[in-house]
Amino acid sequence: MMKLVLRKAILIIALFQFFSVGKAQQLVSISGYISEKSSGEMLGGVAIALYPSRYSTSSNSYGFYSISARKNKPQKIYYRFPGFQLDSFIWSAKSDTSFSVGLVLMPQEDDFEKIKKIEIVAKKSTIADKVEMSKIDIPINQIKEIPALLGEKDVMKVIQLLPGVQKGGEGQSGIYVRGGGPDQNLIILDEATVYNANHLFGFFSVFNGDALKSVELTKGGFPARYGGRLSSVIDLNMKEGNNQKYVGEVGIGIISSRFTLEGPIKKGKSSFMVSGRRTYLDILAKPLIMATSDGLNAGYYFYDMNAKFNYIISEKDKLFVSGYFGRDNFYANDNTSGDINEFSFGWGNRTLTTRWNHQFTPRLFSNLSLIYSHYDLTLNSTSIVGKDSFSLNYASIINDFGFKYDFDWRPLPNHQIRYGVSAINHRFSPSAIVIRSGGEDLLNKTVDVISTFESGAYIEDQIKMDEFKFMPSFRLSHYLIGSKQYLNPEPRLSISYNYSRSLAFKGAYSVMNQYIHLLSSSGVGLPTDLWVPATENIKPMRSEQLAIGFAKDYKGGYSLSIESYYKTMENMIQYKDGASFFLQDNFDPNVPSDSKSWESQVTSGTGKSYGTEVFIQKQMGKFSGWIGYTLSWTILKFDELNDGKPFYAKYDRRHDLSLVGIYKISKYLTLAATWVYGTGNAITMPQGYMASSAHQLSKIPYVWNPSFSTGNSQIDYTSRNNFRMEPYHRLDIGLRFSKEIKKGLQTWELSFYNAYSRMNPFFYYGSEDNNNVVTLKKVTLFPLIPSLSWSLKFK
Amino acid sequence: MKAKFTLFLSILAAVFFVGCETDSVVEPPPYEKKPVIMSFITPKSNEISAQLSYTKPYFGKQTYDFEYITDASVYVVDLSNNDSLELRLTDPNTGIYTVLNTKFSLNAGKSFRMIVHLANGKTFTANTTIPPSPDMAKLKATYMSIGKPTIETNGGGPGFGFETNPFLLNLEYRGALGAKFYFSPQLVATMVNDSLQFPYDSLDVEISFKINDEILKGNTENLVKINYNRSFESGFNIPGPFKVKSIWGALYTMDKPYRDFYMNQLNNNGNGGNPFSEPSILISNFSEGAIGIFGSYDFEKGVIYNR
Repeated sequence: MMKLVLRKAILIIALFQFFSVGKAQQLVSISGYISEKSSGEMLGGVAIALYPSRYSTSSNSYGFYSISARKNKPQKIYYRFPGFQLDSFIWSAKSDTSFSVGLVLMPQEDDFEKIKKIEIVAKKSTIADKVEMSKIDIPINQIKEIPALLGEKDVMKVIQLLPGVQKGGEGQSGIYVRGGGPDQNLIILDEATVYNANHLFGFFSVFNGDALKSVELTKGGFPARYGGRLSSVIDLNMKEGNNQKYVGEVGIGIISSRFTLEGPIKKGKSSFMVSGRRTYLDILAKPLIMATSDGLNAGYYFYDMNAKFNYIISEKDKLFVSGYFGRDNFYANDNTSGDINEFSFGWGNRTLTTRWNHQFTPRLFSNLSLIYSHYDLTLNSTSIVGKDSFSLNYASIINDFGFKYDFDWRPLPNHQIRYGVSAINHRFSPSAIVIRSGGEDLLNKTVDVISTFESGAYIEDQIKMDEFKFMPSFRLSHYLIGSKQYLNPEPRLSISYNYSRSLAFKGAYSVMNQYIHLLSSSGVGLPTDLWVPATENIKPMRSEQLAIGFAKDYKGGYSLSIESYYKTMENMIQYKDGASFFLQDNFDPNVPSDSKSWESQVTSGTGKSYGTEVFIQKQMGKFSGWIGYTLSWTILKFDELNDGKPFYAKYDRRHDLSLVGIYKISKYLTLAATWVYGTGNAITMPQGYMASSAHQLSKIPYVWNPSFSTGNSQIDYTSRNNFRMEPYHRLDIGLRFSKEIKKGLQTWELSFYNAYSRMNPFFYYGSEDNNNVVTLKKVTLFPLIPSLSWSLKFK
Repeated sequence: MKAKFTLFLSILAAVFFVGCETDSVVEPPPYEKKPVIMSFITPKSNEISAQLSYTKPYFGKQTYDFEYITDASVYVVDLSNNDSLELRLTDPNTGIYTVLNTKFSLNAGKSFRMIVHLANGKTFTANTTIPPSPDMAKLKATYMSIGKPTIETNGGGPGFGFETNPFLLNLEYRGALGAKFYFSPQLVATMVNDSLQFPYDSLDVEISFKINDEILKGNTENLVKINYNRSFESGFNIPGPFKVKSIWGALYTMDKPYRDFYMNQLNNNGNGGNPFSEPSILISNFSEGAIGIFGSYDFEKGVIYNR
C-alpha cells in the first residue's frame, strides 16, 4: 500500500516536471521576495497577478513568490496586500527574472480613497479568491485596536471573536474550535509547538502582540503541510526585525510593561528583534500582603521574551534564528516563628527555531527548520518544622526535538505544489514526583521519560482550472512509541468554484490524526492538565471533517462567508468518573505505581460536532470590523461515562455571536468596541442525594442486609453536563489616542472591559448557611474594569 | 515625586482588585424526585430483600432523613420459568421489603428480574444473573517474595521511623468464571518475624495488611493470573526481616450490574468535595429513570497460604 502511494506521488511529480520542461519554451518565471519597504520585513500572502494572462499566485510566509509569465510578451504585474499601496509595473520577460519588491504601507488618512482605486484596478476579490476555506488571517494592526482586559492586547482573545471559535470561560485564553478541545489546536510560533499558550490560568496568552508579524487560523480544510492536531492550526510568525533602521516600542499598562527593540545588525543584510514583558502584580500587592498576613510573602508574576535574528546569506539563502521564553510563577513563603514553609507553582514554555531558506531554482523554494520546544509544570513544597523536614517536588515535562523540510515548487502557472517531511521526538515526563522526608526519599519517580517519534510526509497541489480551484493533498503520518507503531494516511481535498469574480462556492474534506492528548479536569482549566502521549492502550485521536460554504465580496470592502461543517472525532480521552490529577493517590508512596498510571485513570470515547458559521467582515476603510455568528452542537459519547449515554460537551455552545467595530475618528483617534454573546457552558450540577445501602466487599464476607447498611448517601448528578451556566455577554470599549512627538508616536488607550458590568459566571458552588439551607452561588470575576495604558513607538 | 508614584501605584492596585470576585445567589436547576431501589441477591442467603426510597434535593433545606417508599408492590421473577415471589414491606421506617426464598434456586447463570410498581402507577424493572460460585481452593499463590526494605528514619536517626518492605505475590485462579462475570479477591497477608529472641517473643510480632481492593473481569479460559506488587510498613519496635505467615480472606464473584454499581459508588465517594475531580454520575440498571441496583454476588472465605 505504502509503495503504491509513493509510486503514484513520484509519477505525479515526474509528470509535472515533464510539463514544466515542455511549457518552459513559452513560459519564463518571475520570482523574488516581497517585503515592507520601510522595514525590510518579509510579507506573506501578497497577491500577485499578471495581465492580460490572468496568471496569479501569492507569496509564501517567507515572502517568496514565483509566477509564470509568457515569454517576450509585455505583462502588467500587480502586487496587492491589504493595508499597502498597490504596486505594479509592465515587464516583457525574455528569460527567468528575479524581482524583489518592497511594498509601501498606505498612509492612514486616505486609506479609504486609495482602497477604492485599488479595487477598481485589481478587480480581484480576496475572500472569494482563495481555494482554502475555514482559514482566516488576523491582521496584527487590528489586534492592537481591539479593547482588551486590563489593556493587555491578546491575539488569542481576538481569535476567540471569530466564528467557529469559542472561549472557555470568563477571561480565559483557551479556545475551542468546532467542538474540539484546547489540546486539539496546533499552536505554532515560528514552527515550534507551544503547548500551553496561557499566562495566569488563561487570562492572558503567552503571545506578545508587539513581537508578532502574522497570525493565521485554520479551522478546517487543513493543508497537508499541517498535521498532529484535529481541530485547528494557529500559525504565528514573529517579526524578523527592521533591517533598515532601529525602531522600538515601550508600553506601560496596569499590570505589566513591555518593550520591543528591532534594527539592523548590518543594514539590508541582517537584523534582530527583541521583545519582552513582565507583570508587576506581585510588586504592587507585596506591601498589602506583608502588612495583613504577618510575615507571609506570596505573589504571582509572569514574564516572556521573544527574540529573533535573521541573516541574508545570499540572494538564494537566508537564515533565521528565533526563540521564545516565558514563565508563570506563584509563590508563598511563610517563615514565621523559625519554621520554613515554602510553596511554588509554575509553568512555562521555551522554543528555539533555526530556519534556512534556500531557493534552488526560480520556481523551487525550500525551508529547513530545526525545532526545539519545551513545556514544564512544576510544583514544589518544602516544610521544615523543628527537626522534621518534608519536601514534595512534582514536575510534568515535555521536550520536543524536531525538524521540518518543506518545499514550495511552482512549475506551471496553474500549479503550486508543496511537499515535505517532518519528524519530532517527543520526550514526555507526565508526572515525576520526588517526596522526601527527613532527607530521605519516600518516593522517587523521576525516570519515567516516555520517548515517542512522530513523523509525516506530505504533498499538496493547488490547481487552477478556469473557475475551479482544487487543492488535493495527502499526508502520511507515522507514530512510534516503544514497539507500537501507528501509520495513518490523511487524505484532504479543498475545492472552490468561482461563480463570478466575487462569489465562490467552496468545500473541503480532511482527515487528521493526533498523537498526544491533554488530560484535563472538567472542573477547572488549570495548568495541571497533563500532556500525555498516545500509547499501545490509548489510541491516537482521529477526526474527519466535511465543510461546505460560500464566500462573497461586496463593494466597499465588505465580505460575507457562510460555512457549515460536520466533524467526527474518535479516541478522545477523559478522566474516568472520580479520577483527577490531585485525587488519585499520586502522592501516596504506599499506593502501587501501576494504579497511579495516568492510563489507568482515563477512558476513551467519540465525539461529533456540527454547525454553521456566518462571517461578515469589513477590513478596510474608516470603519472596519466584523460580525461572527456560530450555531453549533457538540456531543460526546464515552462507554464509561454518563452510563454510556451521549452528553453535551462542556463547551457545546448553541449560539455564539461576536460584533467587532473599529472606527477611525481621525488620523490619531480610534474608537473600538466588541460585544460578545455565548450560550452558557454545560456543567455537571448535583441535583439530589440518594440513600445508599450498597453491599461492600470485605475480607470477612457477609450477606447484604439493608437494615445494617442504611444511613449512607450518594450525590445524584443525574447526568453529565446537565446544567447550563447563564449566557455570557460582554461589551468592551476602547479609545486610542495617538500623537506624534519628537521621539516618535505616543499612544494613550483608555479601555472599559465589561462596560455594562454584566455579572458573567466564572463558576458555581453550593453554600450551606447556619439554618442548613444550601443555595447555589455564582462567582463573577470581572465586573466593569477600566484601564489606561501608554506606549511609545520611537523612531 | 515619591508620593505621586505611591498614589499612582495605589490607584492601579485599587482598579485591579476592585473588580475581582463577587458572588451572588442564583436559581438552582429544577429538582426531580426519583425512586431509589437497592437489592442484592446471593445464593448464600435464603432471603431476598429490597430497600425503596426517594432521592432528596441537594439545594434548599437539608434534612437528615430520606423519604422511604412504603406503598410499593415488589416482585422477583425467575426468567427461566416466570415463577415469581412478592416481597412484603417488613420495615416501614427504612422502606425494606423482604421475602423468604422458598421457590427459586439461585444457581449460577440463572437470571432474575425485579419489578417494582409504585402507587402512582409507575413501574421499574431490572435484571440480574447469578455468578458462578467462587472456589477458594482454586486460588493458589504461585510466587511470593519480600524484598529488601527501605528505611525511613523521619530525620530522627537510627532507631526511629519505619521500614517499607516490597512484597510480590502472584496468584492463579483455575476455574470457570465466564467472560460476563467479575471476581474480586479480598485478601489479608500476615507477616511475622519468628526468629526473635526475648523480649520480642513476648510482643506481637505479626503485621497484617490488606493486599488489594480491586475487581477483575472473568474469562472463559479457566485461568486468571494476578500479580501484586505491593509493600508493607514495619518497624515501630517490630524489626524484620519478615516471612509470610498466612494469606487469607474472601473471594467474591458478581455480575456486571453489581460491579458497575460498586465501582460507581467508590468513585462517587472518592470525589466528594474535590473541585479538581470528575463528578461521578450515578448509574442504575433499573428502567424508567429509577436509581439503584438489582445485582447478585457470591463469595467464599478461606486461607490460600498457611506456613
